[in-house]
Amino acid sequence: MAAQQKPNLAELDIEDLMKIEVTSAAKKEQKLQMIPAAVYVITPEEIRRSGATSVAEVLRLVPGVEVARVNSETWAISIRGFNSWYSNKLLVMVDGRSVYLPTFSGVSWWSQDLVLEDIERIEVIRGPGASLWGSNAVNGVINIITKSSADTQGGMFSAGGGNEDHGSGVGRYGSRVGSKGTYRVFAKYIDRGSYVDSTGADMHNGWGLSHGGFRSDWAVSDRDSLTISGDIYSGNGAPVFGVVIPQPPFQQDLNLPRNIDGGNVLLRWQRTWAGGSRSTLQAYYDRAHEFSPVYGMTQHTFDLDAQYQWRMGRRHEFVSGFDFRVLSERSQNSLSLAVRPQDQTFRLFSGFLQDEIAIIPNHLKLTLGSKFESNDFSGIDAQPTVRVLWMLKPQHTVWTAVSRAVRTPSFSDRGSEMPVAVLPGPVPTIITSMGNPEFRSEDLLAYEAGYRAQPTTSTTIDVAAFYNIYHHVQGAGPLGVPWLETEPPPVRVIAPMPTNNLFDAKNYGVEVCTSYAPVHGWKLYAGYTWLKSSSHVDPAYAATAFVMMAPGENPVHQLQFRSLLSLPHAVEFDNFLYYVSRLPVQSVRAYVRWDVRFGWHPRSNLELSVGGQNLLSDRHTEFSPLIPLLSDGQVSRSIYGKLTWRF
Amino acid sequence: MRFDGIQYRCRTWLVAVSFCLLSCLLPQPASSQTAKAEEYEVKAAFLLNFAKFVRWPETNNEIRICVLGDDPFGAVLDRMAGGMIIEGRPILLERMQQPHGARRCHIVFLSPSLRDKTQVALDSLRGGSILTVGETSDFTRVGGIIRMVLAGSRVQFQINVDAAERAKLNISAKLLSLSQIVHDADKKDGGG
Repeated sequence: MAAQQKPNLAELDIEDLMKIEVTSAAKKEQKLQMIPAAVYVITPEEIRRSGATSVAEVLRLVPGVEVARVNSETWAISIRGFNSWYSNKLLVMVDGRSVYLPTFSGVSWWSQDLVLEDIERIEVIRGPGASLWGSNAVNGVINIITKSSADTQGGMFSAGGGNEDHGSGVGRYGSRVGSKGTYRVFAKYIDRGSYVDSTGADMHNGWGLSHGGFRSDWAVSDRDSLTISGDIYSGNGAPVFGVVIPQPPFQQDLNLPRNIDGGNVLLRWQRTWAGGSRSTLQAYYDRAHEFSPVYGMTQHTFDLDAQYQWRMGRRHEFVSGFDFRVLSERSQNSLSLAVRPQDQTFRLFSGFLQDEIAIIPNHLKLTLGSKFESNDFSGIDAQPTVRVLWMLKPQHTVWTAVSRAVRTPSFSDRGSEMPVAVLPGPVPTIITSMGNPEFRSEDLLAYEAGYRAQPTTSTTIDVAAFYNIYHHVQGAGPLGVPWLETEPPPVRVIAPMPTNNLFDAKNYGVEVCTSYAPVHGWKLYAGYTWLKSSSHVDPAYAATAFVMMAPGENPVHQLQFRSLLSLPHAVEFDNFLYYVSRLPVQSVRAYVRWDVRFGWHPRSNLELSVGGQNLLSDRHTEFSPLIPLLSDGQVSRSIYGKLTWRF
Repeated sequence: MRFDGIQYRCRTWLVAVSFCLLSCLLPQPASSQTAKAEEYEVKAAFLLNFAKFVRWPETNNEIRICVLGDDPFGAVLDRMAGGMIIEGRPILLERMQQPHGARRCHIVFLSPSLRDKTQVALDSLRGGSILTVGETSDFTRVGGIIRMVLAGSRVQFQINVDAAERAKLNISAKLLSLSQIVHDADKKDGGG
């Protein structure tokens, strides 16, 4: 549809107007002006034209988000610093369901695979969102919201492939149920080809993922709507694990099979009350299972969430709610990685209250809010925020905020064992990272300010600056008292490196996003992120020399340009240019990446596209995790083709 | 071996793709294209369109369209109304927060931001010949004239003919034929 010229609506006859289908973005974009936070909303159009085959790759579009592909199935994704294999300060949710796992604190991107065509929008909030979303929304929140089944009626078939992602196929069908309900069902398969290592050798670590599911939406009455959705998925491949062994060569890179499967079911009931207040009640159950010779786990999550939104008087808009979550997990441990205790149950109970106060209606808004959370690991935490937004004149707003947020301990922070290095000798010494039951939450005090403007109808500017102060940040060290281990042979010395709240850190930076539409059918975007981070060991541990596993690493500079051009004859020509500066600790060099896409709509219901990614170099490394268990590959130059047919 | 499998699957995809290419490119009956647009772009076009189908008792030189409360349309409305002339009368746009300033308007759009103050605003507009347009679910029940409704992904509207009569507005039969007609809450709803 994007290839069609949009009619000038004002010239349409009223009957034709009644045939126009609306997309509901406008309301939210309007509200975007009035959000006192650094927010970016990815639209379906941006997703469609990105050429991306996964949500992880789509996130590259957002200035201020660092997306680094580690290999075929693993990404390191973070906002405002601390990027790592599991970025533990970024909360990610799909339709209100958290996909941030408490085992290692982070997202297993290899199990996240959505039908990109069914995404309504992706809201990326840079900065703490803990006052609403709770713990672990420390540096940012990503909310992936899928379309109502009313908006995905009819059939869709999409197939594509290339030399990087070998092939993917999606089938989806949507229809009505009676007069009040709609549904869709979908199935998807994606085969992510294997990566090459730094020598150019094939790593044989391809990854395949199947995913199916449904969603049904019901307008039960003119007040009540009901949504039921469910997914099942399964994936397998043979990633390369770097396994630490007590005899030379002390580390072996092995392709080991990894299988995952899981699913979830979610129920949401929304009601609009007579006075205009709104309530939402949501429950979901999620099961995740993963198995490899190195580590496996089975996890069950049940979550119940209620929210109520109401106005009081002329000035106050309240939202409050509570959330209860219980999660049980059983680990399957090995010598390379063990999480203890093997069986654990984690309960979390939280409530929040937020008041938006219109001090001068439509000009000056004060937001006060806090989340209060109690969990089995770290007791009760308050995570408040104070935000002020001032509309200088229509389409020009400035905002500022001070917030506190915490990252709660993961299962592995509290109890785990992972060999990380070997000191050779007659009796080899194995340095082993150990969990620590005394490990406490990391916390953040964040100062933010931003400016958002739409100086002309075709230009937008969004600038945000932040200064984040972290305390009690996780690190491994100092070395504990070693002991001798004889079983299983060979004899070796275990030198424990317990997890501790070792660091204080400061991250500060600026993010700029701009867009410009010079003519109808051409949109340009530019973004720049500057990020400085420093960490120093907490004075309590300063005397101990040997400290490892510093917090993650991020590039200082990231620059992007995007151009989405709609040409005559329903042709689209889209370009993406990214510059990411180096990661000195990981010895990852700066890289420039150019992606291009040609799209063609020979008929209104058919889209063909071909594209190339990473065209400027044969291959480059984007991230090199400093733990042996994960081997990094290289992102290669690739071409792809894709077809989407709607019926 | 797994990797032979991948190549084999790749081939099957190619076959599937070429089959689909053939089947899609074969002539088919032309389907009616549905254009898409953003919600408030469409609603803005409706708001301006309503002016074509309503007769006010007294005719000034211009038609004054006002947005009361937070403006959901933004620049779209100005762009569409710019240079629009209806039966020789230019369109003037005004935005305001207080209902008493809206009494001189011909059409008033009551923003959803008014929420529970919608009723108060409608009451203060009573007695004037003003076409009130709104979106809240009870808008026509509490005395508003036209309610724009999002039905699925299309915009439709309800018209309270009793309220229109009270405001001495003459709404053309064409507009009424496209709308769902409702009456004041104390009477029975008529057919649409």
